[in-house]
Amino acid sequence: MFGYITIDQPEIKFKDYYRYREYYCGLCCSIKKKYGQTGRLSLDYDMTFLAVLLDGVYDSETAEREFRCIAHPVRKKKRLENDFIDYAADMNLYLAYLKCADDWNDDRKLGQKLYSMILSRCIRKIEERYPLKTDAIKKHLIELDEYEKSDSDDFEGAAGCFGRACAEIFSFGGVWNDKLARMGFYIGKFIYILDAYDDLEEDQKKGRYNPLVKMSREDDFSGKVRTILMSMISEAAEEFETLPVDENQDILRNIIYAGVWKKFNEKWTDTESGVEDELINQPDDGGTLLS
Amino acid sequence: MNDPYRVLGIERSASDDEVKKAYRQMARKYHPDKNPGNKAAEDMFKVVQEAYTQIMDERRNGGSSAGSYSGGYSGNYSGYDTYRGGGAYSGSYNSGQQGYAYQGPAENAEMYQAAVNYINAGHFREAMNVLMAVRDRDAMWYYLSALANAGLGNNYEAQVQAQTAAQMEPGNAMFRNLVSQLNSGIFRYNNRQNVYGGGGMDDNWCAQMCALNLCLNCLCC
Repeated sequence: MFGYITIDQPEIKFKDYYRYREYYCGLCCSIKKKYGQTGRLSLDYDMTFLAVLLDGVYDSETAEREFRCIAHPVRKKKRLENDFIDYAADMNLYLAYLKCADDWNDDRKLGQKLYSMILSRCIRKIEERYPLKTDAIKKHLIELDEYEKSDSDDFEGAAGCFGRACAEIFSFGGVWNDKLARMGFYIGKFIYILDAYDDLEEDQKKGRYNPLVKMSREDDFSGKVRTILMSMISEAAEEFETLPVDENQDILRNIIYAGVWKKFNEKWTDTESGVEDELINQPDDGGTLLS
Repeated sequence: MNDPYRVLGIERSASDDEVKKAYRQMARKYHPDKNPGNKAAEDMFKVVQEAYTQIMDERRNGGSSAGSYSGGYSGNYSGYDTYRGGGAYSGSYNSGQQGYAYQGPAENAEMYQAAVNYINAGHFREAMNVLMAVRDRDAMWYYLSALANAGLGNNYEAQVQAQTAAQMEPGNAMFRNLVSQLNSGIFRYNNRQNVYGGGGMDDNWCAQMCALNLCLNCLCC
């Protein structure tokens, strides 16, 4: 998705960092096994978080494997395999495809178009495996589209659509499905608002929709965004703290209480020090395949 | 009703993590997959889950699990695709209307009663529609809108509106209670951030927010 739901490296313990990486590698290999090498470009941290969370909440048979990674060939690495990693891998790919298609509509970048065509072959398999879920996700994103088309400044309404799509992704099932879904809803809203905040200047420059434009003209814009983000992540944290997680707590808490603020803090610091103004005046370099 | 702590085999003084571990141990033992066809195990599995949920709800709501605000996002989730099925969330809602005599204009009172009925029935979209038709928006309007928005999952808007209601009518305990409830998550999050690390770069802002939340909580005791 967007990579905001990630670890805070300075704060995390080494053993937790390596464990987190075992999930990340596990996701990467799961994607490669099912969807080929091109799928791997879509890998991000948000779905790694989901795999770590599900593994903390539920029991499953997990295999540990040593392997050599193409991207990091020097040393043998460890990765994990289980149902939650496979599920997160499916969701990762599906979201990457949807985002690609969306970016193509926004930016007409040819690279996005080609990539989404490659992914579309894998998408059919995913839609067959999770028909209700993928239908619901698409429905919510279509609702989000309506906000964009009408240039709405109801940022919470728009965020809610994305939140509901995210709730579908987090609702893996099982006895804690409702809590997982609510957690996903608030994380989705967090991601949506943070992304809008992150992209504000560029969206304005390119005449793209951004739900925070109206608020950006008010006093203490960054402070207001921080309050909104705090409202969202704290609700997600409330659900998390009442889930019976008995593994990976430290990794998950590092992400929920520290890691999620990385992007906002960077952006806030840049804005305050005037770096943003300089960035606006630089020419557009066309971006990378997935930016 | 069984003592949930006895069900899980732990003391009342057990930490949250100890409660979770105890639950997981019992859940593993009685999980339907491990005991196929065993009705007694299945029943026990539900009892164990209810005990855990009751303990966590009580701890969050300060000792009582009845009559507390538990609104927020509700919907049907498709989990059926992957596991053995989830269910529709149907949180319980207590808008705290009982015994409050509204003093405002009569035409508002009727609309507000309709909104309250919708809110209590969990029909938040309908409640919102009724409220949007009201012209003269007093403190009560903001209070009810906050409840409707909270039910719809618009938690930020709900917080802002509850705060507005409390500011318009500072003596109103019901409004202050709602502010406190809606902000309790943020308060707990800030506390945990101090424990688990990760406070924002603006310490002063954090301290101000904490102080604000503390004040709000103190006002409502």
